Amino acid sequence: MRKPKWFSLVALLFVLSLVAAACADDDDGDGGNGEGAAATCDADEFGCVEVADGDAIQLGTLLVITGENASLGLDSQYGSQIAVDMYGEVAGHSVELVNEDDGCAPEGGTSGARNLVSNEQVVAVIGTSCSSAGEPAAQITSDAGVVMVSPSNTAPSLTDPATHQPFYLRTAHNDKIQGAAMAQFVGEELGLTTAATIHDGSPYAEQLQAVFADTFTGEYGGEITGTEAITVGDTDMSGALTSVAAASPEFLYFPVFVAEGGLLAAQGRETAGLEDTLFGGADGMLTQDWVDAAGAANAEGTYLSGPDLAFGGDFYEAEFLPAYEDAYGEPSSVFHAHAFDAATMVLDAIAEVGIEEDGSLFIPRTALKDALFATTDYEGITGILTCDENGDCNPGATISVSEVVDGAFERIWP
Amino acid sequence: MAVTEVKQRSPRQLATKFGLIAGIASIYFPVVGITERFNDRTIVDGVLQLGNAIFFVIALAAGYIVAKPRPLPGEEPEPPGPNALLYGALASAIAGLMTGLFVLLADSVNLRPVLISVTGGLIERLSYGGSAASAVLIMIMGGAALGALGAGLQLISTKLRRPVVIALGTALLISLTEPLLNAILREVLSQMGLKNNTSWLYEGGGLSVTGAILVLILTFAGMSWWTTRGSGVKAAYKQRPEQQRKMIKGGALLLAGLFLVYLPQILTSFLAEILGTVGLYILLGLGLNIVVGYAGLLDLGYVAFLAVGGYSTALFVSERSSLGWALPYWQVVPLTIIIATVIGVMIGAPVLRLRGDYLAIVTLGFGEIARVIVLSDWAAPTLGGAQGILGITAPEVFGVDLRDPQNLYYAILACVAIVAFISWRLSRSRVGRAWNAMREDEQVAEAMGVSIIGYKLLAFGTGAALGSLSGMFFAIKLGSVFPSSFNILVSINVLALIILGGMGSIPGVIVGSFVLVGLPELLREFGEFRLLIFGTVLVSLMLLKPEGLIPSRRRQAELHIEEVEEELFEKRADSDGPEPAVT
Amino acid sequence: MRLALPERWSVQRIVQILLAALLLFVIFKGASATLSEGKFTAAAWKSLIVTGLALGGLYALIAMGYTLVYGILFIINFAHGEVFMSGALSTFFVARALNDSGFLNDQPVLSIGILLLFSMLVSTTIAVLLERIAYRPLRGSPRLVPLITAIGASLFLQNTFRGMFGAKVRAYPQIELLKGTVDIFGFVVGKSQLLVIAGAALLVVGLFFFIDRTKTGRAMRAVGEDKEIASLMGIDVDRVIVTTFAIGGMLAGAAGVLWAINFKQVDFFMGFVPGIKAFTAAVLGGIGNVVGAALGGLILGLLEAVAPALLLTGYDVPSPNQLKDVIAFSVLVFVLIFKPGGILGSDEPEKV
Repeated sequence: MRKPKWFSLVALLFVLSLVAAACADDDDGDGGNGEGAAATCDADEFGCVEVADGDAIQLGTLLVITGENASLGLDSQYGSQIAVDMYGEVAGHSVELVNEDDGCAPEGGTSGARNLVSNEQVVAVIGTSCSSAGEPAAQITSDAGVVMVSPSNTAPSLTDPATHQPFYLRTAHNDKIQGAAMAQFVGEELGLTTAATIHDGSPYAEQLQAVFADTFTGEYGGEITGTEAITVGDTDMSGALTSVAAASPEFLYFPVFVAEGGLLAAQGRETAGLEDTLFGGADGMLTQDWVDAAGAANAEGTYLSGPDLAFGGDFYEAEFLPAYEDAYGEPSSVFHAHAFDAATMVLDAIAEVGIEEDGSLFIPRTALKDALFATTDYEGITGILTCDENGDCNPGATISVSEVVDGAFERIWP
Repeated sequence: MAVTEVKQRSPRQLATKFGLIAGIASIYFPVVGITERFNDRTIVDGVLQLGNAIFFVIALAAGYIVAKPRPLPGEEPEPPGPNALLYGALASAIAGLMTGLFVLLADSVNLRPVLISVTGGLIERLSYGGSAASAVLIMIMGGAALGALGAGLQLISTKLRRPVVIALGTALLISLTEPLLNAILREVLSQMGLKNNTSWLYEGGGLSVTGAILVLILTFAGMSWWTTRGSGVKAAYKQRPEQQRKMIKGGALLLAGLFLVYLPQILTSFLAEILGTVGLYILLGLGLNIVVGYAGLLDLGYVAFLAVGGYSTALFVSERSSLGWALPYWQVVPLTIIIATVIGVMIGAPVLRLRGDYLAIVTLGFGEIARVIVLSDWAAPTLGGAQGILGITAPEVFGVDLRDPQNLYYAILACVAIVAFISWRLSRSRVGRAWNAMREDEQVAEAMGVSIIGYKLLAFGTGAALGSLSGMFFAIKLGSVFPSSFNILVSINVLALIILGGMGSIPGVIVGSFVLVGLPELLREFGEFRLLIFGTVLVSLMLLKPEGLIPSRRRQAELHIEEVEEELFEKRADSDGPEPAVT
Repeated sequence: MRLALPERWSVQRIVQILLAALLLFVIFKGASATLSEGKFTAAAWKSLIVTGLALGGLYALIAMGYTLVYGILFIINFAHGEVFMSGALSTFFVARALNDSGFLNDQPVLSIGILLLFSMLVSTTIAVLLERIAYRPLRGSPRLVPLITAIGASLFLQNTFRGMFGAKVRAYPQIELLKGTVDIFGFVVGKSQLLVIAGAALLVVGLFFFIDRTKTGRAMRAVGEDKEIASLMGIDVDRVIVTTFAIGGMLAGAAGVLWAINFKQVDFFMGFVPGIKAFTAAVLGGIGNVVGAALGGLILGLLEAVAPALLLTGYDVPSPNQLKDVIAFSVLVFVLIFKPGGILGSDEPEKV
């Protein structure tokens, strides 16, 4: 009795849906007002963003601002905000941020990116925080012609020529650079021959320790005596620590994040077999928060790699940090520097390609992307940035190594 | 159960009690940082921000609740007198006093080292330009006024009150859904060939002043009409013959279906994306509903099957996976479903004797095991470990690329329709009734000849197959799989949505998915407070409607023993009942 | 009723015995391979065992909250992990103040007492409020409903504490008195570990006596057996339930401080994983059974600390500690296959 009705309804729905899908039209008319702008915009594959007189230029951010890694993303968001505040107006328009959450996961990256690209006013995106979110987000923004610059994606695959998305760039350094730099520091500078690694199952840490291990054994003749992994959210690290301690390595590399890094340092000091072992990590822990989490005494003497912030001269210490601390308190990572550079680069590029007409600003999307890829010798606070054709803007990134001395970071190498 | 004692409190006690609660609430919001954050959000442009609106709502609500008539059981409710105004004002004045004292405290002592949200800026804004001392006065007086206003709502007649309350609520809702509605409105306007200027309704991220007035007047008028005439319309509908009523119902369903199909055309790709996500969770919910709702097996590790589906798709489809070769989709789909079903049965088999909470923790364990294994260095050579599997290409169905969220939405919609249909047929088949019997009492069911082991395995297998189907869409949608996507929160979310919707109810699953998955996506702009709101919604919805939003009629009926027995009896003599659905 | 069962049972029995044999073989082979490899020294094994005991003691304390509430209301109080977190995180600020004023190291014993009291107070308050707001109105509704409110309450508490105190991970002030190690029967035990083990043991034993000997304890057991009869006997059921939540909260609060002292770190997310682990421990021991929860906690703690190294190193599994949850949950599954009610639980199928 009831079956035919339901069935026909379902069938109808199905057919209709196919028809509708087939008919999905994608007209995209963007009539510019003026002649010069109109011509440029029509010529641009993805058209222009039109910022009307008195409106603000909208920059998207797609960073992790909720969950366990929120401190990483919020820090980058604050860095971008300070860049926007310091930059002032661009071609007579103020700039505002549209903040989205990448959730540090592909789901968050996907829906966040879709949300941003569906807003036609969003000129460019600063993001994502996490590489796992960056993979799908780069594809979505590139399909829509929205340029995206990441302050903290470090996964090599994002700028691998085989898989690079055309509208994706990053100011963060590739894991390959940082892992290798640490290996060089340990092998050459410290002259050690045995090391062990611990990662936390995140793509970032796993990649870093793999690159470190490869370089350390391959180029510096070192030996990896043990590899362990911990689980994010765990508090008892003694299992992993005891396991790597069995071979009493000279160096223990754990490029993880603040919480687990703090636990590893604190408990590692008490693990038998690691008494004479030197500890090292990467920029995920290069923050006062990590020293606080580990306790200053436990953090003492740990080597952490990261961007060479001393590069930008006084600006970082004298202007950026005070502004940051005034507005948001203590920074919780170093990626605010990358975010600052990314946002400033984007604003520079907008000023360069934007066309002013009758008070409106027209920003051609492809031209904006090209301008960003053409960035050469840009003096940022993370180094001199030159973007290559795969979107790596920090290929010659200078990685410095800092040591924790009296609870503060002291740059010791190179 | 003991009868709850009816405590009679004097109006003054009531006013003090609710005043204290309201006071705690109005201190809570600034302390956790919601006030500051939500003040970025406009309710009425230039007039009201969300963070401040919360204070107003609290003060209004306190007055409203205090003034509410509380008749003794069996007594007629007495209409509240003018005294109610006084008590309403008292309640909210107490709340205002508490907030004011808090501001005073925070102004004199630096609370920031402990309570990070209590910044100087917050105190300044809460003092409304004046000194902290003046803020106390303002808050007491403002509170009293709002409380009296809230109490006043109780004084006016129901016919007037309902439209007023609903109009205010609607205005708030329409303002909060601005990102969604404004985008749709613009799209509709431009498709109709009109200028897509919506400033008559929305401005600055919220309602414009004209928009607010418009919404208030329209809803008020509409609701007034409905309160006076509504019963007449309902009666007229009820008087129609059965056949016509069915026609109307069918017509409404058809309209809803057409709307769902047309929806993506007026939505931005972001909204299509959200709908796709909701659809994915509906699929998951339908699958888990079979295991939990029909068969009564509490499964807290359903995410394992999402992972199986996602990883098997990734492994066979992606050319960047460890296999190094790729299969076409028409082979991957059945392969994935078979793998998932086999794993489902394998997991189910050893734990069949366990019941209730023991099963819950064991399945939770399986979910965690699945996640840890896909994450581990041990399985990394095959499953990619921490680096996940990238490069999952989307299939083309009839030349339609499924990577586009709008097209994927149609595919998921079609899938949901089919699965809902199968699920609905299953619940009414011999299998469904066996599950019912098993859920109600395993031993009785077994004694009646129901093969417990067989039916449990069937439930696990079906659930697994459906879960893997969602996993497949999940992998296609994201183009990559990472272990972090398959955490326990997914299992909890799916379980929450079927319980929230009403266990065993298919419409319940759909509504539950929209509430628990769609809403948080729309709340994205509230960032770090999204989960806080989500948790609050979970608690309050369960407190208000413990049986779920759309309880299954069948399940309610089953609470009557006779019917269960009748059904079991019918089952045994079953020869001409509805045929089992094809699985 | 069970007339039809024996035949099928025998098949199941055979499968179970085969499984057990296989399992024992795998364990034996892994363990002997590890031991013959000699990667770990005896001292390393001993230190792993001590860590496991400390962790297990903490699990046991938290598991009490689950098992007590379950024994009386038959609901899984999923928000109990947040009760634990609330005590630990809010006490951090007290500890910091004590440390800044120098009191913490001048009067370490008194300070630890203050910290414990404060944390227990906060956790108890939260636990009681939780019962009042999220569970009491739902008494008598289907058992899955309180599970969902518990999850909602858990998210609410987590994010409220995050909103109030921030997302920052904080290092717990360290007490000089607890630095260093002592030697007990050849086991090198950290002083903070000693405090944790002793504290947990003391509290658990105290709880046993409380439930076994006091009037309130007897009332709790009576309510767990049958609420209506208990109420007819003149027991105030509501009060007993509140007391149960309060005791669970107190133990969780104590566990919070001990946890913070032992692992030296607190943050708003710290309750989630221990909550799930403690729940697992409660089920492993037989949920509703207080001795079982203690035993389950200890076993789980020891398993997590020792098993990855002992079983997996021999098989050359990379990063064995990553798989510790796999081992823990597999043990749970196997225990429940052989003893469906948990180690000390009854095997009778529960009533619906």
